Amino acid sequence: MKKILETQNLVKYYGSQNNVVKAVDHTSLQIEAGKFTSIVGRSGSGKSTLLHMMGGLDRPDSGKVLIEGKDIFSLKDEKLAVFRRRKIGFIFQSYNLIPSLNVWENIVLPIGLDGRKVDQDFVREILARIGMEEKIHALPGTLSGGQQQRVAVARALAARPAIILADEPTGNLDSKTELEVISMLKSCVSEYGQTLVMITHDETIAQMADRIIVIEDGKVVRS
Amino acid sequence: MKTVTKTAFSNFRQNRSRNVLCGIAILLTTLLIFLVLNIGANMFTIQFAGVNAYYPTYHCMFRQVSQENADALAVHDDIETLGLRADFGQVTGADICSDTGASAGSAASGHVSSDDADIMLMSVDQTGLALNKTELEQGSFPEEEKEIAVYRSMLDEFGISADIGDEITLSFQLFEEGGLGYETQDTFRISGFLTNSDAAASSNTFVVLTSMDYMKKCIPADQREYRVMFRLTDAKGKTSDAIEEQARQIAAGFGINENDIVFNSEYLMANYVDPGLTAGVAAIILVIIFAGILTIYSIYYVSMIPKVREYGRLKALGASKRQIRQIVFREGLIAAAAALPVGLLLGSVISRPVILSMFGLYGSDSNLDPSAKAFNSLCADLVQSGQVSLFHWWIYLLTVAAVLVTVYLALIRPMRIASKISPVEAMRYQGESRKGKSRKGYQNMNLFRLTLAGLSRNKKRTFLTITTLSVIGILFMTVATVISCADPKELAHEDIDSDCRITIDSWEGDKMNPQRSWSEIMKNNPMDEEFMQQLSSVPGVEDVRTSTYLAGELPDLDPDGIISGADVAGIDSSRARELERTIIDGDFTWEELLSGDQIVAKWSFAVFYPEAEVGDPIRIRFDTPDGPVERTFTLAGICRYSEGFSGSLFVLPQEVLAQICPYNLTDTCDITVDPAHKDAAYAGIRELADSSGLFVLDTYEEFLDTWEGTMSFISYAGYAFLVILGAIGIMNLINTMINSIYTRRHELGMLQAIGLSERQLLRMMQTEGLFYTVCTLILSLGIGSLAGFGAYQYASSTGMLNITVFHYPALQAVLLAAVVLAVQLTLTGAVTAGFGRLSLIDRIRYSE
Amino acid sequence: MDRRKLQRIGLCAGILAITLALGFFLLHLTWGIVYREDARKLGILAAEFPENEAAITAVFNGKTAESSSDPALSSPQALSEGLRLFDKYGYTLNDSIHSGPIGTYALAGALIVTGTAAVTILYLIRSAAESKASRTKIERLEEELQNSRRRFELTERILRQEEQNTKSLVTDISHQLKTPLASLKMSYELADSPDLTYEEQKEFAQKEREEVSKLESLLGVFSQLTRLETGMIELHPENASLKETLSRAVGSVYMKAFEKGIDLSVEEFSDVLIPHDPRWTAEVFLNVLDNAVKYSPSGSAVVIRVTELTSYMMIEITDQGIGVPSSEIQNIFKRFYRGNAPEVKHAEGSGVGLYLARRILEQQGGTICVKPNPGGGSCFVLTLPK
Repeated sequence: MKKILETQNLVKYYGSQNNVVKAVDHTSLQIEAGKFTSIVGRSGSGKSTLLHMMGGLDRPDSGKVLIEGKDIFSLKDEKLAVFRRRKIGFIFQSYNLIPSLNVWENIVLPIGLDGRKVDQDFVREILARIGMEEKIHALPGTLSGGQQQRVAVARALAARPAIILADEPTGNLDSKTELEVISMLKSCVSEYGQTLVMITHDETIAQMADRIIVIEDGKVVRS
Repeated sequence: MKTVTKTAFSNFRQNRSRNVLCGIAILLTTLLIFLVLNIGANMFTIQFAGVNAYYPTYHCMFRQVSQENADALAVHDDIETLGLRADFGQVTGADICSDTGASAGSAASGHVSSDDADIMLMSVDQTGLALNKTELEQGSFPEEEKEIAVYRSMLDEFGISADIGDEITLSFQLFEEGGLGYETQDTFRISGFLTNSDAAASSNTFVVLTSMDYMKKCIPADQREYRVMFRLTDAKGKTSDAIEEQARQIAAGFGINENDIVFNSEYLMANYVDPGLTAGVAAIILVIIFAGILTIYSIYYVSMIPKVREYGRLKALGASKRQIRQIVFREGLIAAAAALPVGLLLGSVISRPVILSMFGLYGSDSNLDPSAKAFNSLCADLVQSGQVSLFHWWIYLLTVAAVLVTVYLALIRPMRIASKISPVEAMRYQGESRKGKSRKGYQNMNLFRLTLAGLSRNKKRTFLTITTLSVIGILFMTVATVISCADPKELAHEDIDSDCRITIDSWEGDKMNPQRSWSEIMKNNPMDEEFMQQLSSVPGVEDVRTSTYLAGELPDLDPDGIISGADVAGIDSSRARELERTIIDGDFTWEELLSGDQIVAKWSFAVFYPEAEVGDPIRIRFDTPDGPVERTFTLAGICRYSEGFSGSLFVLPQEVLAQICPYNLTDTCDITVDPAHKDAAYAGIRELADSSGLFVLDTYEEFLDTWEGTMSFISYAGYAFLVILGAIGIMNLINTMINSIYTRRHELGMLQAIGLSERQLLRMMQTEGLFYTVCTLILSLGIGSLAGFGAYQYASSTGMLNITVFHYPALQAVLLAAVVLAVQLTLTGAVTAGFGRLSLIDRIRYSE
Repeated sequence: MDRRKLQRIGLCAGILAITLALGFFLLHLTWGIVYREDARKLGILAAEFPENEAAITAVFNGKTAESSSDPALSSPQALSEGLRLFDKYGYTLNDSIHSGPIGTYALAGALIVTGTAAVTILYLIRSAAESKASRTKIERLEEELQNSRRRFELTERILRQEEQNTKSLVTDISHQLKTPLASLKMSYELADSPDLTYEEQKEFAQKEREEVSKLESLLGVFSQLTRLETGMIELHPENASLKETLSRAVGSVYMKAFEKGIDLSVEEFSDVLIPHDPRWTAEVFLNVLDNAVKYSPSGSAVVIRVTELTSYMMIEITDQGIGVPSSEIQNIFKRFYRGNAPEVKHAEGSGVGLYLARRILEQQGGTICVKPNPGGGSCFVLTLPK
């Protein structure tokens, strides 16, 4: 099994002496390349924190995160940002889009920030897959929640990152839309050969993954 | 209620930094508003108080009123109080009286020459004394027939040493029809000494105050001529114009000539509303208050998004509308409650020294005549002694009201927004987003386009911030322009054309001192050939240039004599070309002027008489000792010459004036000295100038000093004012920048999650800030320069501050641009760095 | 590299050369002017003082030291005297700069220098930007290379995995076959024994027939599976009617449901044409329905509901059967997995149906998942892209 992402003994504690919250408690896991891994756990079990550290958004108190063998926290902030820009795509639960940009611009934003030119055909293809070709110029304020999340998915795909990290991307959606978004995400990711790590507390959704990791109180319970 | 207040307090504490910022803004604005109001109002109040203390308190004076009319006026319904004064003779000599009183026959031994000192014999009744504010140093006013009150300095002049109770003999001539009577003598007892003895000495005019009885004894009833000073009844609240109108009506009713009506203008102006002046001052104050209010409003407006969220939260917790309103106001009030008193206190503390220095400054201005100097020091004294309070409750009230109203208005908006939408939406409030459905957008995105999109998102807020900053910038440029146009050297050169200048100080219409009338002086002009010789022979004097002078009225253009007189200066041919060079309207040559039927007017002529045009006939009735002489001239042209060139409204060649009036009309000597021997020359000139009490010496250095002093004070005040304005502006900017980052915390955090690096974030912030800066600078410098130019135009057309030449305040403009840029760059850097310290996750997590 | 560098050097050299040339030219001009100025002054002075012509000329052409009549007028003294005179007559350095023609030339010289400097700086900036751009480009190309390599590796892995799969498949199949074969063999051996009664023999024969038929069906499934696994089966998606595909599946399973007393119904929906392989997709539906019927008690209902989503068609198959315990949800889609519940153990099945269903659906861009039916039983949710 090829590991594309690996955490080694990650630790993140919050709070002071008496009220320590062990968000991530010596967690080590490996994510297989090209597969759909879901991380489940109750609220407050530390999964978001874990995901954020895996994506380099948060620095751990101790431990390492290796992406493609590279210790990402050994990079300087600037380099880390560039690394993140090119290797990782994020999808959050809500407010993923920049309100003042239209759908197209939101999708190509990471590419633009990287200074690369947009592969128009590829982006159009993604747009077709998510069924938003009609709404290229629409502003996020006019889109429904499901539509917004779909655009977020498209954005994560457009830059062709190696890893897509999704933090409860369908948490705010109704079941039908949820199903759609997940189906879409899963098929895109497998077609383009990307790795998907998704946090969810919905077991129905989790089962669609190739592998489920269960987190409880900051520790991996089942994997 | 307590909960409400507690919530307000804890809210306040939580948003500490934001509220501190607001607090400082409120403080500065309060300070500004208060200072402007206070100093402005106080200047008026103090001056008015000074006027009331200094000047006589009557509204109007009629001259040459007969005894009959005087009695009739006394019972006139409209007249509240009436005082009488009769100037009935001239004293020619004085002598001490030996105890036996047998001084009859002894000739006057005081060495007094009649053209030297001027001693008026007059009597004033009690009311008159009160209205005139005549005061005694010592003793009492004459009541018994033979009592008199005199100036100590007069006795000194005669070499007499006498005290209260002593008797002196005076020789005098009574006024009779057509002139003075024969010299008579009489003995009087000194009952009191008048104040202002030194002023009398320096102007060489004295008064011997007798009792009314004595005057009545000397002058038969039908020959008595009074000056009647009176106050109108129910004058309080009337405008000065109304009072003047009423007085004129009374005069007309009693057949009193227009020329014999004298209004106590300073007093009237001080006590009764002059609509024009008030309006102008109010306008300026309003502009300043407006700028301050705009700032406070915009600061609160910018932090509107967090506020709406707060209110949403409160609503969700179950606070009723009324409670929310209370919390809102209490929170806003806390900021104001802290800042207002401090601002008011600071303002109060600063006001006093500022005002004192303003009076002190003007007091030391040696250019002003002695009476003005005395007036200013009187004002300063009034302030110092606390007789005039610097603190007027209504100013405080107005300031507090203005600030509170603004804060209220500023807080109402977010509350209204929050009340319109549900609590949950309010909590997630992102700002008034564009109502657009779609956007054309770009094919390729980059950082710059992202920044642009962000800016266009909240256009209103951007607009408001830029407007506020620009207003401040425009004010800055305007003030800076005015200040830089006023170069003390240039201004001094406006006042005086040469190195120094001796003028004859004459004034009209002073029946107390009729000998200062020009018509009188020219009969025995001290500026004669001999004087000229002496002047020219002072070592170091290179050139002496004289000009003559004749005064008169314009019966056609100004029949009531209220707009201007017709004062005409006579200049010699050496200044011919200079005059021609200053023509702004019309055309003429010196040679044409010599013909005697053409006259040249000053630029202010066009202001006074806007309908008059070049080529119109100007009829002037000159006052000459031999009676009025009328001449009609054609207005050949209007020139813009400086005060130093001539202070008169009209200019003619000396030869022409000489033809009109044969007396010695020389009144000004412009002296140029050799710079190498300046001191010696000045000393000699000064000596000569002191030789006559009629002379006044002005030097270029004095004017320069004054202007430098004035300008430094004005620049100091102006720049202090601007610094406060600038501080407010900077705070506005700080607030905008901080808010623009913190309300977009979540969005920015997310941007960073998808790949915006710290450096790119900084660049984005800098670009935004630069946008604000550039827009503000363009508006400030662009419109500001225009406004400055406009102010210059206005100033030069009204002769304010002697400004004539336009200097663009290039240095200040560059400074403004540099400071604004520097501030913005450092600010952005600081705020971004502070933001960067928040971990990425905190940014995303706390979307509230 | 070389050409660019050469170009750059050439450009710099060119600019330098031009600048120098201009400089020299200006210098020459200036000198000429100075010379002519001197000549002019000499002319004036000589005309004024013809008797001192020689001395004056000597001053101008520098031969003062020898022919000077006044040895006291040495150079430094002369200089200070001259400066004093200039000062006396108010001729400052500023004035001389402004008045002389040299001023203009100096200005021209300054302009040239400034211009050159500006051009050079601009050029330097541009080349720095260019080199930065090319560096970034290189970085990016390296990235792309890495990405391609990764994808290639992935493909490699998948292929190898497939190989592995096939091997394990063969192992699994042979394992699966062993059991029925063993019982068959046992049957035969037992049937061979002469002590059996006629009834017993008939029993065994029956048993053997059953086992053979089981073997047959197993083989059928295996061959399906194998072909799918080894990629021999290709899905041929075409725009076909969903209703038709669904009907095929329902038709196949209807009898079984009826016999068991299970009410099988399809909720009405408007037909759509979606891209799918009708044969294999029908197979998918069949597998799921089969399970539903198998594990539901008689008298219960199995409902099929089709909903149209934005980009997918959602087919929900709800039963009121034994349901799937949450711990097994993940596993039921695994190959050869059969649940632990007693009903499952009793029923027939290869444990391959759901696995196939998932493979086929996912290959067409759809998904399958299961959630518990609130009233008891399971609800299988299938999606297919429109």
